[in-house]
Amino acid sequence: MSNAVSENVTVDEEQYYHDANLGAIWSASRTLIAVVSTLFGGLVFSYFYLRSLNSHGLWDPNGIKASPLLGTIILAFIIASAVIMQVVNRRLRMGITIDWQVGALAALGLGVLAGAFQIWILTRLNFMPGSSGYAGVYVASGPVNALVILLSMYWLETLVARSIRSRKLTAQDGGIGVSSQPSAENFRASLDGFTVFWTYFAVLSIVVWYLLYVL
Amino acid sequence: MAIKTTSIAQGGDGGRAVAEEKKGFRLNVFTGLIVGVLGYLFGHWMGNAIAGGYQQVVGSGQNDVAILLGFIFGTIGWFLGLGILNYPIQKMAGIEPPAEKYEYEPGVMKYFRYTLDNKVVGIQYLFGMLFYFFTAGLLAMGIRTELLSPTNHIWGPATYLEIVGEHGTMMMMMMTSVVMGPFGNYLVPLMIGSKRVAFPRLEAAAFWFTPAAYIILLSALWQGGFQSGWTGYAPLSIQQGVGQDAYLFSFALLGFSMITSSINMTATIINYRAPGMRWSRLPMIAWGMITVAFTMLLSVPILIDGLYVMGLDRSVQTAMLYAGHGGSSFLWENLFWFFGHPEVYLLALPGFGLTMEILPVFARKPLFGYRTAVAGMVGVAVLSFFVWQHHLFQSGMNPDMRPLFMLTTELISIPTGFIYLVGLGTLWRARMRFDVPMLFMLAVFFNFLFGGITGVYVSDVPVNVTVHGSYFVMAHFHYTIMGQLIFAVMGAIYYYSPLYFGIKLNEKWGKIHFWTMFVSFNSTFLPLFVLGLLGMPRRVFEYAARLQHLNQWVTISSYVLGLSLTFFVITFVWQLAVTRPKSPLNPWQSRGLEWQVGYPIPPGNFDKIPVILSGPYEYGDPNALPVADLKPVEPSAVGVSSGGEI
Amino acid sequence: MTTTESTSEFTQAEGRSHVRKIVGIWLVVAIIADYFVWFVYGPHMPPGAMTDQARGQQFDIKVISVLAIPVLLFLWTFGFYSIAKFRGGRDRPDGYYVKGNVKTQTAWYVITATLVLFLAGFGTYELIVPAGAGGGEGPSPIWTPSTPVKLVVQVIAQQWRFTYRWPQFGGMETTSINLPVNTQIQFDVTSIDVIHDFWAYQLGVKADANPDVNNVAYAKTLQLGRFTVRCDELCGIWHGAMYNYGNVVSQQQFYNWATQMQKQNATVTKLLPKFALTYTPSYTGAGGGYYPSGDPNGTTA
Repeated sequence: MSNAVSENVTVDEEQYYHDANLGAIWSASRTLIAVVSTLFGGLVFSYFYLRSLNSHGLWDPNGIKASPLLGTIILAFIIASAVIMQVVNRRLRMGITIDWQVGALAALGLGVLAGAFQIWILTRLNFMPGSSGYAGVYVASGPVNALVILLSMYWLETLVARSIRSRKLTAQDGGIGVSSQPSAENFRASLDGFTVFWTYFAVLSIVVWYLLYVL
Repeated sequence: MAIKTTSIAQGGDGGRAVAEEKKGFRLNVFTGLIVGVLGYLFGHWMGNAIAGGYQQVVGSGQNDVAILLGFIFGTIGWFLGLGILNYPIQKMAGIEPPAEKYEYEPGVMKYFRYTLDNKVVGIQYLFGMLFYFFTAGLLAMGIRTELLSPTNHIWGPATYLEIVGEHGTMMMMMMTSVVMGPFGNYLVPLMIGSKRVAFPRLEAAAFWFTPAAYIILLSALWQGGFQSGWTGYAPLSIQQGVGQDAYLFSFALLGFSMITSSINMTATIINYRAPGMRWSRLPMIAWGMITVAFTMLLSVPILIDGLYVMGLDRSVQTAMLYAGHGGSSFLWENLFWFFGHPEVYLLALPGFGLTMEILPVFARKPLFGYRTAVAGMVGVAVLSFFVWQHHLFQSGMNPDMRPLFMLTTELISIPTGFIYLVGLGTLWRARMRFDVPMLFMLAVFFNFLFGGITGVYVSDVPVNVTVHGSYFVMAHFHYTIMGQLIFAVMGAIYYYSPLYFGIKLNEKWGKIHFWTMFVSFNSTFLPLFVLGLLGMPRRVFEYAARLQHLNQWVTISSYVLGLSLTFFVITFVWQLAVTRPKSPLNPWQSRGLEWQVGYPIPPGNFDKIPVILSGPYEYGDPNALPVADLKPVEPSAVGVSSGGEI
Repeated sequence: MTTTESTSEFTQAEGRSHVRKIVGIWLVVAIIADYFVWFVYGPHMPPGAMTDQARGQQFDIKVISVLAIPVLLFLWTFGFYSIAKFRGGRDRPDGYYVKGNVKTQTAWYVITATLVLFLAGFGTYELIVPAGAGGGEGPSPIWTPSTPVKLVVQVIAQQWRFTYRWPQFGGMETTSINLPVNTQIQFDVTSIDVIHDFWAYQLGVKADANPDVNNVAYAKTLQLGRFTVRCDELCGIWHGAMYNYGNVVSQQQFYNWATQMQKQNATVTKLLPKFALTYTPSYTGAGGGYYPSGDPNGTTA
């Protein structure tokens, strides 16, 4: 009997830690949202603080902004990337892995371009970093934005790579989007975490875009 | 010695784990250092190439861009050299490494490597933290030596302030991890009945941030240091030499360490509790850890923002902290204290966690008012976000906010009071055993009382006019941090060495250490309240001649305190490395789950997932169930999610 | 929550007897301590009574002490009593199995909350009535004195000294400070480089000196005597040496001193920048000489 029971318990443990792992990915992706919100929150606070103080009338005396065109392109890319992810995730759940892979690669490309544009803007600013309060806040938020975008794209890239690599493994039971293998469930948990995070980030980007390029 | 191997099954692609490591050469702290130095050199070269021609660099001969890039690439190199980045790079190719193996590895080399066992990380943290603490403590001795006389100087004023800044920064940034590192990482999985933590790589990486931060922070000393203290108020911090870059970069690194550590801690406690480990049975240390982790997650990014802003102002000439060009020096004060005040509580909360964990064991009574204790910790954590402007009562910003911040600050004494209620209730009609850990826990209550009560003075705006920025405030926070946190940690070291090292530290030596430390601590810091009330400001190397006697008293007491801690180090190392007095299993007769696994703790913590049967503090109830069933024969875990009802 | 008496040795009666002893000891000690705090040490407590504001702070310290010391003593009495009485050992059974007590816990919440709310209310009153209690209120103070301000003193901090400008005396600048007694004074504190703090200890005045900010604090002098001025915010290497002394003198003496200084300084005063609430630090090398002097956009003079 003891043999059978211990066999049982081992299986249980595997399931137990598998479930816990899925939960941990859920918790971590949500805490990541909190961390990124606070990170941008500090910059948004700086924006409003310096704007309202307007020391020496130098918040933004001549109304010079960083290129609104490029700023809008970045935002559009991020939103497009997030929307694509939402759409293709549904295809994945239907078992159409290849659509997801193509879509995710497109989302990845858009995100990387957004990050690259964000860096490029910083090299062709039409103001000096110390010329006004706005200039300072812009120069500060640019690299943070680029970094968060590129790190998110790193996450997406690992997901894409993983789906490609496990193609054969999950081929029998419907692909990584529906497979009941633990590895596929783990993949989907990570993908869910990413999608929630990335969608949230797209919304956050709208706020930041409005503050930096429009207001 | 036989090598025991426990393979932890772990969902996913067979789990996230170290790829089977090759025997023989493995990356370690030395390869980390070598690659780190190379990285620094590369970054520095790059900074010179980029910014060498900048007007302010040519004018001042000081290239902050090069220093900061050096630090950035140095840290990346350090991580590469340690092998921490192997896994993230593998992931880019879609490779999920095979199941991780927790194997017992003899020898000490494992402590000098990036490893995934929560117990090894805990020990790494323990010795790391003690090392950082004693470095900063030595600097404190330097401060006190200078203050022996108001007129004769040991250090020049610049060196004196460098020492003050290093002491403050080192203590404030490193000691945030003094409980979560050695005790949280080690004990929480044991306490909640888990074989693993949620993200062992994050946990281990969090530790390896700290040596880098330590080295970079100390490196400021031979680059002229920074004379702006740990608070780094702008524009003074913008005016400083390159030492300030070391300050801001190392502090930010520690910030990343806190975030990674906290993400792991929250995910572990939420998801990896054993069946039956309900929230109402969660041990106090775990409660301390989860409240602290959430506080860190929501406050540390703001610190990183602030330091980043300071770094930009110093290197690429933005002017966010400089009113002359559209910034404001108040911006730094707000960003810094928005982190800085929760920080004070994220030093205090884990200390309370430890205290409330250990107190019932020696009182031989259940913890009084478990829910009150939890409410106290959660209340402190929440309120800590709404008090930061009390550091700025005299700063000249927003006077209309003062009554509000006075109210919130004083409100925080209600949840803190809860913890005293729990303490007193637990002592009520107890059967106390006065072993060394208990003495330290009682001292925590004694010391923190001074810190807490003087906190009421400091938070009262009219009184704050007199005491702000004086030695009174300095004594106040040393009582709350050293008197509470460090005493709790010392007690915990005595309490947990049987579990960590299988040795029971000598009672007599422990008592000598305790009494000398307790008396000299109070003798050092109580007079500082008086000095502050008599008008001595912080961070001065000269003071009024009439205050000399008190200062000398304090300095001599601080030497005794230093000697007492030295005595601890010597006896601790001696017993650990030489005599190794063997401890019986669970020498304190604790009910805690962590004590039930035996010594040495199996590499995977538990042979089977335990089933939790009752709370950890049921002392005095002869009918209480054992805390857990460690060898459940029935497949009781079927379909039970973590922490579920049993 | 109540508990069953798990063992006969922990009786209700014995518990009540412990409570009576603890409360008895505490009451005696607390009354004696409060007497000493209020009547013996109270009149000598810092920062003294040289101004209305200092006197208010002294009163606050006394009130808080009288409330805080019984709290401290209660915890001490309880703690030391417990240590003395509730001892155990390896061979003795465990303590009283009790996990909570609704009455005690409720009483504790109510008492601490009442104390805290009272202190917050009291502190607010003591902040508002004596015109900001001597603390810096920023450029637009909201708590102003009830009697009109007679004398305005501008405190200018710089690395590493204080100077004073007197708008009512031709905008002259002095390196020493004298103040008239029985006078409502307004301090306008500012800095021309980094953050300093103007702390006139005996006057009960403390205000950060920020570059580009005018930080206003009020004090009404009541007694003659000498006071110390110290910098109380870390401002660089000579922070520790940044102090001087001032005197509160009779109104006539002050007037004589001030007019004499005005005459003596007349030639220098002409060279000074026009009196203003703040002075742009760009020209003084704050910020480590990083920023070129003058305004980068050429919009402000």
